[in-house]
Amino acid sequence: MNSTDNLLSFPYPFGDRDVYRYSNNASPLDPPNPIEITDQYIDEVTLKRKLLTNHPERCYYSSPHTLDAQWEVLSLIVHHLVESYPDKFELIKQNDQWVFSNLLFGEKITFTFGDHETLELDPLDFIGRHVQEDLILMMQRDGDLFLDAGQLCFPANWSLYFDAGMSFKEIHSPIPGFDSLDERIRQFLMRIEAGKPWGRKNWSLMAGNKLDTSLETFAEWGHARKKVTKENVGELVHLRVEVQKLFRLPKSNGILFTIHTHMLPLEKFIQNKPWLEQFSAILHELPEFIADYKGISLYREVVLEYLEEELKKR
Amino acid sequence: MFSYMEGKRKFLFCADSEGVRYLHILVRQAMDENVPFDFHILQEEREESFVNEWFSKQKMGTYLYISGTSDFVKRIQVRAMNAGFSEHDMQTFITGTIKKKLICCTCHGENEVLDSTHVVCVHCGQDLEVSDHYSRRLDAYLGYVTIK
Repeated sequence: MNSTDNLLSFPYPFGDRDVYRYSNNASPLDPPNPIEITDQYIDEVTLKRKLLTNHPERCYYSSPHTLDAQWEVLSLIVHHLVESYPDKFELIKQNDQWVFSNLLFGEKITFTFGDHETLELDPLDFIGRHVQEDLILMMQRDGDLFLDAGQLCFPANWSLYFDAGMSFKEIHSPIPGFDSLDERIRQFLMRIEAGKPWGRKNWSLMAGNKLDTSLETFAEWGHARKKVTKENVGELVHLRVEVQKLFRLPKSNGILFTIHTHMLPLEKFIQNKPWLEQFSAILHELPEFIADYKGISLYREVVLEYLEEELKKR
Repeated sequence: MFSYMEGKRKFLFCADSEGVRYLHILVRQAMDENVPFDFHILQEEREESFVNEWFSKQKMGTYLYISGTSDFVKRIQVRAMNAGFSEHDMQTFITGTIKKKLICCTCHGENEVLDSTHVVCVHCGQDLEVSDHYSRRLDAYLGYVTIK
């Protein structure tokens, strides 16, 4: 489940170069929409809600001072949803009385905007249960950014529980070869202006097709990395792409970071010849420290052989 | 090791009986430069109760040095932070073994680590690799599961 069949809509993550390095590959977001609804909406949102119910400690975190910023996030997302998908979401406003309808789930929720007593969940937790994206809220203070709230159901092998409250630099401290880059990216993030959102794509390979690859469950899904063979590689290994979007919140000055995760099995991915050619070159050249960090090293050779075999067939 | 901070209005030196020897050079320098200071050596945990009051009486520009065992430094540091000192207002030096708190990535349980690189989680039995990834909020390092 959870891997898309639609090649055309898959967010191919690579640019012109046949070489991949960590970089700040953000570009102005067009259209400036934090959310995208795909064919997997019902499946993925259902899975998110299940994870939030069963594992709240690893899927949601918030610091009390983020409440105002959370209402801004709710407002930003609700307005984008009803404007971009009027057949799927509705909003009726009478002063601060809001009635939000999710037609896909047949839900209608009434609350007073800005009054958290009228909502059963935190605003961020609430609106996150209507979108496929993970939502991370970073607050800016003392010249730095801090992960002060987040709803994270589909992490690529990291822990919101552990990273909660950390500064940007502390969060990224385990990434090898990231040292000089993190300061430049941090400065870039702090200069993001309201009304001028940015987007970027991040990629990795996954053995398996689970979206919910939390660090907490690594012991369960990490074993698949050792089970990649010449026979199953096309089916088992997936390209995992995160479409990440960054929005400055004008009142609280926080930054909303939305992450939409897409997966495509290699056997589908290779049907697109230019993708096959470029990815084969990139993976061939990829430095070991990046492959290690992305968790690819154990089966990189098998993937490379598979890609090269496929190239020969064309 | 400690470094001498120039331009401070006052120094506080706080040590246990092990840590005291690492402060002598700094005290001499403070005397040479006529910077006022307080110096306390705490032999037992029960003597630490006055520390809160001591810290809360200090003015801006006061700089704190803490020297001693891992547990001692941690306790005094927490009291200093509660009294309004920030990390920029202090230096610490740990004598002897450094005890680390390790959080198991699977069950979030706490483990105590001395200098090993791998431990078995006492709560869920997972083999954990001790990492450098540190959380101030939890005052702990992250233990990653190793897959055999």
